[in-house]
Amino acid sequence: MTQHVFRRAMLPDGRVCDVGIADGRIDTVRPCSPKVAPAGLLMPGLLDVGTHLRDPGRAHEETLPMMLRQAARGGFTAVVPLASTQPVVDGVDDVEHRIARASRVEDGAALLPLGALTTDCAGAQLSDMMSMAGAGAVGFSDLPTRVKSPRLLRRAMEYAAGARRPVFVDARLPGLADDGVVAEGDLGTRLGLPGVPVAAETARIALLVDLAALTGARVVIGPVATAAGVHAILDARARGIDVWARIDALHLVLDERELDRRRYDTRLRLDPPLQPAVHVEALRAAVGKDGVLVSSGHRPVSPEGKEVEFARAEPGAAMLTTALSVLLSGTAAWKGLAPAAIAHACATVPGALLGRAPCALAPGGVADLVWLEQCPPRPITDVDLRPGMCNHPLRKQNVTWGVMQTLRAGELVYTRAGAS
Amino acid sequence: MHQDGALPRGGLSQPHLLGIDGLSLSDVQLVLQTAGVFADVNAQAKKKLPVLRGHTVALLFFEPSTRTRTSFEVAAKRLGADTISFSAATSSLSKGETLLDTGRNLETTAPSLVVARHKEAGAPAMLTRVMNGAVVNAGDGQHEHPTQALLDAYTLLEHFGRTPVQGLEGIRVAIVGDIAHSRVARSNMLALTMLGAEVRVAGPRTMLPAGLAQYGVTPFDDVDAAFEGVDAAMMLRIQSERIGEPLFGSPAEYHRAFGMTVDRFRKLKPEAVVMHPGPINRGVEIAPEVADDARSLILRQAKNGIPVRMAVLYLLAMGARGGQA
Repeated sequence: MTQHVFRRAMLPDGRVCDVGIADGRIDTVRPCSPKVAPAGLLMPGLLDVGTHLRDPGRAHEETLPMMLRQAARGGFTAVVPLASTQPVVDGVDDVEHRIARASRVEDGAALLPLGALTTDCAGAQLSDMMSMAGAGAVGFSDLPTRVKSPRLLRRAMEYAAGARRPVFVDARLPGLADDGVVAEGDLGTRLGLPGVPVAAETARIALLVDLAALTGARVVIGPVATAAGVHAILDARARGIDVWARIDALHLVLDERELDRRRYDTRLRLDPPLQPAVHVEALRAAVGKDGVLVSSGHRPVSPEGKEVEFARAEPGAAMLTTALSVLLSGTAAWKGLAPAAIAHACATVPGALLGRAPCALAPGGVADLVWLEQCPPRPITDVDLRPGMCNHPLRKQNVTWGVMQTLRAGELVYTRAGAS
Repeated sequence: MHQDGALPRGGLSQPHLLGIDGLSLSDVQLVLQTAGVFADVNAQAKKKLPVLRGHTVALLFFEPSTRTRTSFEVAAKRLGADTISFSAATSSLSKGETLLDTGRNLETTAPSLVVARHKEAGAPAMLTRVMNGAVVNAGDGQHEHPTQALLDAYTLLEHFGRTPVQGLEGIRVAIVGDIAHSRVARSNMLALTMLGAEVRVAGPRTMLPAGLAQYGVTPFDDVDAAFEGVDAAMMLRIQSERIGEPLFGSPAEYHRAFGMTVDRFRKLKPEAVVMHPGPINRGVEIAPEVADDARSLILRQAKNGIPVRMAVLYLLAMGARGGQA
């Protein structure tokens, strides 16, 4: 069994300790003298919820093993990919097959499968949620397809609640601004691109909150991108309703000014679209609160999907390898977030959501860990991305943190070249 | 509008003309001044000034267009340039080729100037990534149609006897119609306010977009109030593909509530003029009698398109001042 010591490790709470690993668990946490400069940052392994998986169906963009290895490289020790592959995961066999395939990838993140909410994600008939839960599905979702019928949403929530599993739904009201590709407002009008009003998010969230209250289901709403949206979810939680807000990493470090600078750059075609800074401010303030989780927003798109007109471009960005370093490093416009807030939103909250305790960074905790080191500013390059995936919105921009090692139950699943 | 006849030596501050957004007042004035020189050439029997001999102008029309395309083609030919034409009907776009791949292929013909019209906003801007020539936006989706705004400004200056430097101070213009979906409106709001005009926009609220304040224009949902005291009324085309969208009632109601009817025309100031970028829907946004009236500048606008586009092609071929990317 691996024996390992992380010396002079800064923990998310700011303490600097030597952390010893033995038999897949944290063995010792010894505080260093207060004068010692940390050698790096040790965080609990992150859990990515709502990852877009391209295999099967679009495996030329990313296979399942590739996705799991990219995740480990980015500091994620587990991913919860969406069910919307082609074919979709909507039966017991599909869930078991996905788990079996993932388990053969030893140098990657663990996989916790979602099942479809409706058969074939078609929005008509409820899927076999009870059976899929029994086979290991941790929740249900048709994302990125939007469930249009409120009646179906209600029944799906009731059924999932009976299966003791959360449902994951989008935060945009279908039928109001389906063609929207930018936030409605000054910039959208100037660029002549169809906008999405804030009301599309708040109206959807109001409906979802009421249905969650009606059905008693655990409902994860997102990606959420507006101030009013995240506030509505936090208010509902304060009233005891079991709703959660999911935010994509890029919406915490980019606002629509970036799109103004890089007009019609389809790498910035995201769903939800980039927002005015006031919304980014509010989302950042929510990170670290209970019920607010941050996901990578990983949604790889091939060049054919991006080298077209902005409104026709496929939304998405390949984010697994860089989400954590970007969150820590920040961008030209926004500072990095505090390690404690990131650990809470990317490990503790998603763990609580799925009933899985993340690594507590205390003796006895399962050693799902990520070790990062600070580096001089260096640009995100193709080395960080998979060859052929040119759709990183921050390509060539600087990061100051790099993932050096990722451990799953004490075993190294990723080591950056040159790491000790 | 008459100039001293000499062509300027410098170009614009931008290497491309993607919109009025991004141009400075002096850029706009330079285009209008240069257009004045070319208008004089166009008034002569021999209408050629072959300053672009040896240049190739690619006309990429990904969306059908008659007047803009013809206008650019005539402009290029009068300047002595060769033209290559490309239209969506004959392209590989229908076979699934991406926009950038189409651009890369056309780049093999090495045009020094690229005129692009596309139904999606931003397509000309994207072409600048793969093409080395200067790109002129000939209308992209709902974004901008800068040469239309320049020819409209030229027509107003000409009509009111102003020079580009004098501008349109004190001139009140109402732009009426589907402002939200109009590239002509976006370009005109920018160009006309830049030249000092007081600009009003009017239409049903469904056609007034968010963010109008940033243009420094005044919105009206009552067209009669918008027309009060105006010197020029610019009527926008109601596009047939918008009919059926929840934007207004019937075309007949639109005409009654927002169109330039004979009755409204009579209530305008006696010296006020009516404009339209064309093609017009007679009886929808404008009554036939008004379109054909002596105070309609519609044909004047079409005519002025040629010298204005000659000026744009010429100035971009001269290269950008300051080499801004």
